[in-house]
Amino acid sequence: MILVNPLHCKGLALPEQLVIIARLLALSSVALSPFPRFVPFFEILDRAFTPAGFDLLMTALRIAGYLLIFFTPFVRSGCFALATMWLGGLIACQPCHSVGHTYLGCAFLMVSLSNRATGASLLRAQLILLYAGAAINKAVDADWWNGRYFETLMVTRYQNALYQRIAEDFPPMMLSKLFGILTIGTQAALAILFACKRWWPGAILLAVTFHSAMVVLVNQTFGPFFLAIMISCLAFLDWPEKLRMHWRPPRITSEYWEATGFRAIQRALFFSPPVLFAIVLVLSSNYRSGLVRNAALGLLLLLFFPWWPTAPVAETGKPIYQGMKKQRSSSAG
Amino acid sequence: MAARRSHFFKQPGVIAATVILALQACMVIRARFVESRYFCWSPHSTQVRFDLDVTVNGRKLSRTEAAQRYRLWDAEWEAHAPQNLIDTIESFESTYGKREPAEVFLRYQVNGGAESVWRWPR
Repeated sequence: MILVNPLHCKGLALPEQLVIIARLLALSSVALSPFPRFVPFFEILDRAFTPAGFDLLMTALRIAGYLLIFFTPFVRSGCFALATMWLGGLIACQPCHSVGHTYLGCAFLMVSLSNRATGASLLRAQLILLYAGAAINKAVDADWWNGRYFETLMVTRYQNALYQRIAEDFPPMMLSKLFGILTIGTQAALAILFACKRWWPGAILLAVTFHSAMVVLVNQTFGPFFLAIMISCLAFLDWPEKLRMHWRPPRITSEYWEATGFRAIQRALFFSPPVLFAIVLVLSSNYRSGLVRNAALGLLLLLFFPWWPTAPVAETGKPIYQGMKKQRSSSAG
Repeated sequence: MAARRSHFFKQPGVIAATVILALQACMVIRARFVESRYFCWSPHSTQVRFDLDVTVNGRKLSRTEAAQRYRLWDAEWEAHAPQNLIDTIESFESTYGKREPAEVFLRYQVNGGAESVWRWPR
């Protein structure tokens, strides 16, 4: 067995980008407990496993999955073990149904089926399908249009003081209607924007802003859902293979672009696995005050911000996606 | 270009992923025709506030005990569909719960709407 450094993500069967995504997904879920076998969807699971036997299988898959992902070159096998654990657990436990865990399992499954030829395309397809499904489910529900859903969520369930104070300045239900329609529109827009490569930078920023706002509003990350989505957004970036950083003055160059000053530091941090691991570690921890989590969210937004295509770029290059486009067309020519 | 695309879709991993994604799309369509919401990408699509009265051997369970009996995430709220809750209770009571049969009275409101009730045994 060849052991690897968990922070070293290059030179494996998967592209560096997918290795980082797999390890971040694993890190974000390492503290979560597997599901028990309890009222499964298929009775055969009751006959095939005792509760203790099922727990043992899930624990074995969990340990094997995390060890393979973090410490060996067999990242895909580890992802498959964790996908089996999460999706198998959900099928074996009817009341455990959770969209966050389902997405986490599907994301692991898509990474396990990927290779250097597919790159991150399978994970990208998964995220697009999630947003399309979520938009359809909401768009056909009248309560999302008439404000009843958000009124129940923010006023009755979470009793959000800030939301109630703002809602008082609007006609009854108006703010809830607005939030409902905005959510449907955002999720539909994300499905469309993520499906078209030229809009990826805007889609990433929209996704990070939308989900971060929801986390702050309701003060919870919806289980593993928020982090799994944020990590999946990394699949929509062109990951540079070679980065050269000069610190005085700050200047970073890759095969696609170069940046100086604040943006150089920003990109050096962004493409550094230890920084990404640290952010995920903070966001996956359950801080009661939410202060540390919100600070990490702020850092996440700050790191993602330069991807906005119309953001002013003060250094040598154009917005990053234009730089990549130019480089591609010249290499294709 | 077309040859490269054709080669891409012939890879076993891509074929498997396509089948899995197609199944998910089918589940999204299926959700339009059933009351439950499982594996159909409906994150927090409904806010169901419920009150569960469970009586076992003549003893009424507390709200927490009732949630523990069915291993519910929350003792008061369900975030997908009321049918998910009903399915869980029904499946439990018709299998594991037979050893200690219970009488269940479920009152629930969907997105703050009118109250509905459901009983077990039916």
